[in-house]
Amino acid sequence: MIRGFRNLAAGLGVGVLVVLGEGVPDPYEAILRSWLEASTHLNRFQAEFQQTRHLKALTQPLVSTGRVWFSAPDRFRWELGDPPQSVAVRSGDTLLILSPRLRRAESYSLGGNPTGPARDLMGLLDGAFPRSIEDWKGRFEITGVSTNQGMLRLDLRPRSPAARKLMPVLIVGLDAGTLGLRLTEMIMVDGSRIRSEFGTLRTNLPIPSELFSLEVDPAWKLTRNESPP
Amino acid sequence: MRLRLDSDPLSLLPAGLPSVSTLREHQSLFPSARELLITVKARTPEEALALAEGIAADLVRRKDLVESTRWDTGFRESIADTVAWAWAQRAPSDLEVLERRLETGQIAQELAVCRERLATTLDPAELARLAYDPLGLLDMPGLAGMETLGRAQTDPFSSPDGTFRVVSVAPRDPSMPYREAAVWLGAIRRVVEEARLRVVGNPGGKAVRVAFTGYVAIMAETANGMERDLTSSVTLTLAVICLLFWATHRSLRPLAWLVVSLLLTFLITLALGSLVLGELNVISCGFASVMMGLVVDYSLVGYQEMRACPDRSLVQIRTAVMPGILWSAATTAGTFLSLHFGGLPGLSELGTLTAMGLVVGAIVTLFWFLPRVAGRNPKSLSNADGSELGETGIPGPVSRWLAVACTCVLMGLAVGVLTLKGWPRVEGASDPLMPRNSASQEAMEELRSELGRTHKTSWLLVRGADPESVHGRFAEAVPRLEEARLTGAVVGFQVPTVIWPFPAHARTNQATLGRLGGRADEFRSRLLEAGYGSNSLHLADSILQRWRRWSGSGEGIPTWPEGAFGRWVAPMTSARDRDGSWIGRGIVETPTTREGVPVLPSGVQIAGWENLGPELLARVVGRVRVLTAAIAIALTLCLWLAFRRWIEVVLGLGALALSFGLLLMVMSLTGATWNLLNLVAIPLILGTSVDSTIHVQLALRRHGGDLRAVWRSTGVALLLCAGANIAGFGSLAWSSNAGLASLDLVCAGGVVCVLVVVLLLLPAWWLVLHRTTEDLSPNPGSLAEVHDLAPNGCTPNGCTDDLTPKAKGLSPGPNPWAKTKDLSPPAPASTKDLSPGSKPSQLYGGWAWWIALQVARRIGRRPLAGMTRLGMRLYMAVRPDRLELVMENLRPVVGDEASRLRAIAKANGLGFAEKLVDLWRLEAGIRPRVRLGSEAGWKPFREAVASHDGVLLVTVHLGNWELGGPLLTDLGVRPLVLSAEEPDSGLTTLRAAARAHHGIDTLVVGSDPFAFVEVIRRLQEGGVVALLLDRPVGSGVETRFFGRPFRASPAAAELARATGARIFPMVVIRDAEGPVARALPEVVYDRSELAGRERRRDFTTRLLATFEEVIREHPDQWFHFVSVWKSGRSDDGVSGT
Repeated sequence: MIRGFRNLAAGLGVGVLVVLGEGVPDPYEAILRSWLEASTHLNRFQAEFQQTRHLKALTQPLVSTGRVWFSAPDRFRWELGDPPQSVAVRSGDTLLILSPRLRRAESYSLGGNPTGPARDLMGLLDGAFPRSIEDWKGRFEITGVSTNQGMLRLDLRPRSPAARKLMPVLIVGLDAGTLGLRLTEMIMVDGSRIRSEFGTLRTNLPIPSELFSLEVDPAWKLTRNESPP
Repeated sequence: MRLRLDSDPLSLLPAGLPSVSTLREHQSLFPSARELLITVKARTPEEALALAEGIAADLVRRKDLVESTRWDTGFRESIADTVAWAWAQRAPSDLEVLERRLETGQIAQELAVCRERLATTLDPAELARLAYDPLGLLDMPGLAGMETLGRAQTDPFSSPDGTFRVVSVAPRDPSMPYREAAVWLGAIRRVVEEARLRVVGNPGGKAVRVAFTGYVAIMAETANGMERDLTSSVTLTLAVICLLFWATHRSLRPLAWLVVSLLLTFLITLALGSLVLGELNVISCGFASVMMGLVVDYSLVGYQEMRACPDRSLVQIRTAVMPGILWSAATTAGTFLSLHFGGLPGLSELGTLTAMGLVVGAIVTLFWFLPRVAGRNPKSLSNADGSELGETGIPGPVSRWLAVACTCVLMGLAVGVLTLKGWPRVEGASDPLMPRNSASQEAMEELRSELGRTHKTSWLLVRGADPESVHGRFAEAVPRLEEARLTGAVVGFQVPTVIWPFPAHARTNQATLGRLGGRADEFRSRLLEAGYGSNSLHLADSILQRWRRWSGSGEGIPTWPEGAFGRWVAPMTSARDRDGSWIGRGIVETPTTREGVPVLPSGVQIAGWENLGPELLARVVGRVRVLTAAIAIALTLCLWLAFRRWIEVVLGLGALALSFGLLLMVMSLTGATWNLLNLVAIPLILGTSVDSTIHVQLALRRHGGDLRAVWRSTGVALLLCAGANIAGFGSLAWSSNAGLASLDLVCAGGVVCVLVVVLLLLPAWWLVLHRTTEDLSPNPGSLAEVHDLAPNGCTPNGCTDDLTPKAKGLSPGPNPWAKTKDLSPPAPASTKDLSPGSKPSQLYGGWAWWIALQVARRIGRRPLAGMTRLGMRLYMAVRPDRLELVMENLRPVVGDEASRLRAIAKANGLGFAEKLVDLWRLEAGIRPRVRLGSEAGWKPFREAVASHDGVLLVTVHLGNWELGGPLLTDLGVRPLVLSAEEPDSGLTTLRAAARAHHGIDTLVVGSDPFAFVEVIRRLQEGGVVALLLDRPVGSGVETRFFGRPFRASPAAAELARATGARIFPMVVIRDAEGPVARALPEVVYDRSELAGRERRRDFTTRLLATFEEVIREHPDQWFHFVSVWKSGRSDDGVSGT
């Protein structure tokens, strides 16, 4: 009975969304465009952040620091830990995940429409940095917008069911004035949360190109993961 | 008896191919290969999941229908069972590493590292794993692939977006026949529909789609399609035949009988098919329409004959058309039987059934259809041969050259199209063996697409005496597969090395697992100390608990993982054969763009439909090449036998070549391709179309190039027959089987092309190459003409039984064509009577005799006699004229009582079969035992031989006179046998050699003008000469026998006069105990009384009279299959010798 009601409610909900999607202009379109416009002005930026992982399996949160560099149109570098324990480098259609402590590297091809682990990783890494409205809207939908203490909060839902299995909700916090990124929070499927709070965003400063280098120390174990066509 | 339909696509494959054997083995060993797959496509993942769950739950309650259902691998819910079991199967060294990692002093550091990775990893999968597996028990090489077993990246039950799901259903009876499968599937559909309505309601359109595929669905659908094909193609073919017949003859009664005879043929063939084959497969069920399209030709020919010669009796009509129909049936049946060499059992059965149908159809036409339409006053044909057309239909030079220009244009067009668009491709895929426009096939395609199976998927099968050996072979295969993956020959693969049982390891690991399991409390406290919550301990607790249980209790480690995943994975990856051996199953994906399979270590086999194509194609192409070459040679021979002129042989071959060129052009323009099945259309078209070129050219000869006459007499008939053939082939264009449809479309297209070329262009070519007036003179005397479609022996002046020019009204008087250049081969008909009574059977020839000797040498007398008697019965059935001839021969001996006469004639035929068997065995070197009759009769003979008087042994065609020769050699005599020339020189030589083998000399009378000098010399030297009296060489001498004029050989009288030899009549007859040689009383004569011709004739009559009594005693052994009472042409009574 309860299940039937839930299904009915879900069905009604989907129906309402479909009606809204087809007949009524997206109420969050303007916000999204503004955010995108603010992001696209940033050809290069770098920031430090603090990441707090509230994992259901642990009694205490795990805190680590990290840094991020971005260079338009498609290069970025994430470092997590100090010294870095995990590094993600994207350059063009290649994403490289490095684990310096384990001397291990994994390479993912992002050509075409990435699926599987590559897509999951990209969802975690660049969801908060939109470059194209079509691309972004293809991956996320805004389910809620609110403001609090000068911060604009966007509640996002991955469109891909596979991504939702991993991360049903992504929260993006923007500066209400500048629409600059202040925080992201990923709600995982088991209720765990990963919150990254960004420090000062330094924009359009020169970034050494070797930061985006895909070179891997030959002594490391490199695993290549080709994205299925 | 009920004919069964075999809807299993495997039945279409040749058993000899290794890949086919492997596929059959796979299908029989792995029950999952026979499951029903229900696919669900919904709007959202949640909806798809709910519907899949709902369907599975509803179906599993139907125990009467379903053994089990599955919509998920069950890995997540049984992960602890699986991981605990998988560790037990690992090499003991792996477990030692794990134990060291979890040592008391080491574990704190392990947990610290784990926490750090949890804080910093960017890999979502690692994050999820480490959070719930802090001890790293899931950190096992290859374990990650377990959940998605069978597919590299995807769930076998769900598409990546979750909106498409698969429910697999194991039927209660997986080996149910197709009719039960169809009923079962119907019941399943109802359950599924109820579940769909309950779970998702009734959304419009295709919002939620449920489809059925897998073995059961495909089998049920295929079988239904076969039934539909069988009925619809037969109906359509019959309809077209009716239309064509009506358009041509406008007569209802014969049309009705035609339809009934075709249906009768169909039913008899179906019954025979069930006896011979047992069941029809999806390809062979297409025989019905093809057979009808061909068999109707016989009825049309017979009916045409009746219309052309309304004054002839049924027997005359049947005698006239029978040879043509039987030869046509035999050659066409032979062509279809050649499909046995095509390499595909489905086609072989199609060929067998069609061949059987053709023979049955010929018999039904001759003995059932013709009697029913005979005497119904069919409308006679007027101007059948066009001779009364008045104005000649011979076209002028302009028309001829116009047709030649058209030929050039068509050839240029064909060459241009083939150059520009390329030749029709040869497809290597095995798709033609599969159903088309099939819902289940479409569902399978959707399943493959949704699950990301875009590559060719095959199973890797490994057999071994125990699980360890299978594991070892898989392990050996991995490096090869990895190598192939790097070169691109393989896209991905998965072998069950991680989840494969390894009992030897499990036994060794039991103690280690027990130790680790015993430390569960220690691990728990360490984890809590390190800040892990209780929910992170659940997996480790579960695994450790199982290890403790397995080591502590007597139950030991199970062969397969416990839980849902284990129940799913065990039958998916393993099977046990009847001999107890183990078979492991892995999976390999190869690119669709590459053919062939990677090279694997011995013991690893690949099974898969998609990899069958190239191997099958290579086999079929090879066979078709040989077959086509053989048929082409046979056709050239046929054309030569028909025309005896190379120019017409070349024209016939040219017409076939251009027809094929046009067919290839049409195929290229329409994008049609060659495939496994339609490749055999090449020999089929050749075999069934060559007669068109023969008919047209013979008609051109007959009518002296008068196209109008050719069209009326032969063109219309060809058009009608071709129309029926096209209907027969074309009706299967909508067949549910793609290969059968393509085969029949190509055949129908080929027949159309042949028809166009043969009717529109070939006559013009013929006319261009026969430009002179002499060339165009009609040729009524050609032997080949009697095989033409035109009514045999019919002329505007009427019909006769005799096909000689004389009988056809072209004599007396000088042959009007004698001064023209005769285009026909030397015509024996011009000098010999061709009526059946004047010549021996065509079966009596060198090759047939040689084959008979080979058979006689290899099999015993009893089976050979049985076969020969059966053959004789058949011969008498299809050649009633011969039986009537024997009756006429025996009439003076046994009287006029018809029933007695017929009975003795039949007994005579069967007796001749017995005689043949003894003779074959004798000539094959096996001497039958022959008894000597009364010694009193032989004593004078012995004395004559001893005194070197010269002995003339005379006999008649009574019993087995040939056995007398070896008997004489036993008596110390080397006889000389006088023999007429056999129908062919090879046979003469063969038989003489056989006699020589038994110490008998042969002298062929007629070939050597000085032969009798040798005979006289032999007699004068006291030798023994044997000869037959009752069959003259040449015209013979007219005597009296049984009170009737009779032409006999005067040789005995002539030799007696020349030498004075003593004459002993002798016979070898068969009684209840076998052959016995009887010497009749010596014929004493006065040599001086033989001086005159009349006296020698009387003496011959006297000699013959000595045999009358013994012939009356044994009329069933007096063997004459040519007319003996009808004299030859010469009336002068001069001896031919």
